[in-house]
Amino acid sequence: MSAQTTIIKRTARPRITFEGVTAALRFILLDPTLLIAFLLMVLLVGLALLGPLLWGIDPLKLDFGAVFAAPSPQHPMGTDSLGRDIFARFYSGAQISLTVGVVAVVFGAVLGGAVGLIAGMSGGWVDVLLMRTMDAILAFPPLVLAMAITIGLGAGIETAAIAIIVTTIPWYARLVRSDVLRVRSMPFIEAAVAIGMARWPMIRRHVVPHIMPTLLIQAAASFGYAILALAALGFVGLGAQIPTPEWGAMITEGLSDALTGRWWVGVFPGVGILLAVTAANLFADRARDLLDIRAE
Amino acid sequence: MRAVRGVSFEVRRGEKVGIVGESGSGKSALALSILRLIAPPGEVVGGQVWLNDRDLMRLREREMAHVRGSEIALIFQDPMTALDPVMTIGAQIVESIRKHRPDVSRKEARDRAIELLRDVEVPLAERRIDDYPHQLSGGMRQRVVIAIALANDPPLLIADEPTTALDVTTQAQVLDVLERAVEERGAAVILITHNLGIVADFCDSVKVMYAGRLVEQATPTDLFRSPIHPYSEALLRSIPDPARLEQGPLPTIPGAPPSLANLPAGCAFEPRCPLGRGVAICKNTAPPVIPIGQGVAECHFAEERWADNETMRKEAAADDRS
Repeated sequence: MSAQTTIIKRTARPRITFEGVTAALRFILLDPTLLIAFLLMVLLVGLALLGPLLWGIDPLKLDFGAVFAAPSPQHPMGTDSLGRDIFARFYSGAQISLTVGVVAVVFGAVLGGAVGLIAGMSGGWVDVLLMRTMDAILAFPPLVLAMAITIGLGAGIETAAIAIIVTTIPWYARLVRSDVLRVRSMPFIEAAVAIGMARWPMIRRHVVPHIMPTLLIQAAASFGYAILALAALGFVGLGAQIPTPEWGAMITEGLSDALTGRWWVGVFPGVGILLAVTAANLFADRARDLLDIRAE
Repeated sequence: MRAVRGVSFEVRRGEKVGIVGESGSGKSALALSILRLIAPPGEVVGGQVWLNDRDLMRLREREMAHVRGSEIALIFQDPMTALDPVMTIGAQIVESIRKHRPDVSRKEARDRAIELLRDVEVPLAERRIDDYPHQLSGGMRQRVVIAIALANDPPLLIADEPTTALDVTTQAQVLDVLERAVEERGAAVILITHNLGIVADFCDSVKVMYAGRLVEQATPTDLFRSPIHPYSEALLRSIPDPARLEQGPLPTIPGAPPSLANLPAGCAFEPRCPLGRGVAICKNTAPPVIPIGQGVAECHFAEERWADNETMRKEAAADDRS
């Protein structure tokens, strides 16, 4: 076999490279579902980041000369009962929701993943103890539990985030545990032990990479849940407090105005929630189709 | 129940020992117990494994982890699943090297991995090293599995059905590769297989396993010419042979191996044995270990059968000389 007869596709170790990023972008562009999710996310993240720079109106600034202004070039989303610019409040809400979403996903995935990994690898009473605890959390409807936790800890965005994280941990833990049980029975795990690898290095190198797809899919789904739950907690007054421009709380404020025809006060934050959750769920669904090895 | 009972043998430096037996005879359980890899709730209840004056059964788990891979390496049956699909083969070989020699730099380990791939005759090793397992064929993957086992020059390799998952032409190539590699290194091999053809080509001595015991130990020549234990004979008869096809269907061994939970009092093979079925001594007394020729057999008829075969062996030896 001479060198010119064989052109072997080289695959190097996973690393974030320029080529890798462009390949990922090309993949997204060619997949309609991912493209929609991606564009929605770009829109919301763009507004959250660039809004303050380009628009620059204080979302808390009252203007009693322009109370309940309908959407116009001056106020693209109108103003509320206190004359606050709803567009400024919309992108500020995006900042809050996306931040809480990311924080909830990171902590939920790390903590829940760790619980699932330890339970799955340990087995025995450790497994029973951890998983029955997870079952206990799952026994409550997630929103009811989140409300109970925020009431216990005191209403606010931070406590709402903690409550959301607690309710998502069991989801990660269960999925990761079942994945670990599948992977640990694979011969390459036995092979790793047979070359003398110790337990934790073996887990890090040969088990953790195999649970990443599951973790990623669940993280994407939980991102949508986190935004929705934050809005729900804000809506019932347990999350962000007035006058914080949080989408759920904004809907509460806009509720009575909708009856008097000022629909824009409540509708735009609702649209924000819709877009963010749609993007997260589309991404999660598509990622599940693409990554789930059990579906093959 | 006990999957392996009273098995005792030794392997000398550079020796190639074959262990044959049908499914469930305890071959793999034997291999895993040598490395102390029996998964709970299974356990090794007793016995000793001596490697260069150390009893492995008495080592601490940490010391045992050091033995695995550097002193005894295991070659797995199915190369499709013995390699981690998310790591390049190079990374997996490097991992095996650096596990036992952390002082070796990544660069050196990589060069060594390329050498190992060349040793097991993977073409274009310096490019293939960055491939993932799914990019390789079964034969190539099994070579990688062998390369990983050879990574630390272990004095003993245990190959558990190393070619069962491969097609016949690939089997022969992989066995050649394995043979050359262990001969260069002077490593001893315990080859576990149910394929007697492989044993004849590859091994210096053969052990026939039945219901957790070694029922016959012999050189391949003696075993193939004049099997002593009726089970060995029945195994040899059930090898497909074009000449025998004309004489009717391939003989099989009637019945099934005994349940290990409920072993007969006498010889474990007695209910299936063409010679001993119903014979009182076979039924009631476990056969002793009888030294026969250069080996041993566990059969009440061993001495008679050895004497019966005497003429056959002499003729065969005469044939060899002429």
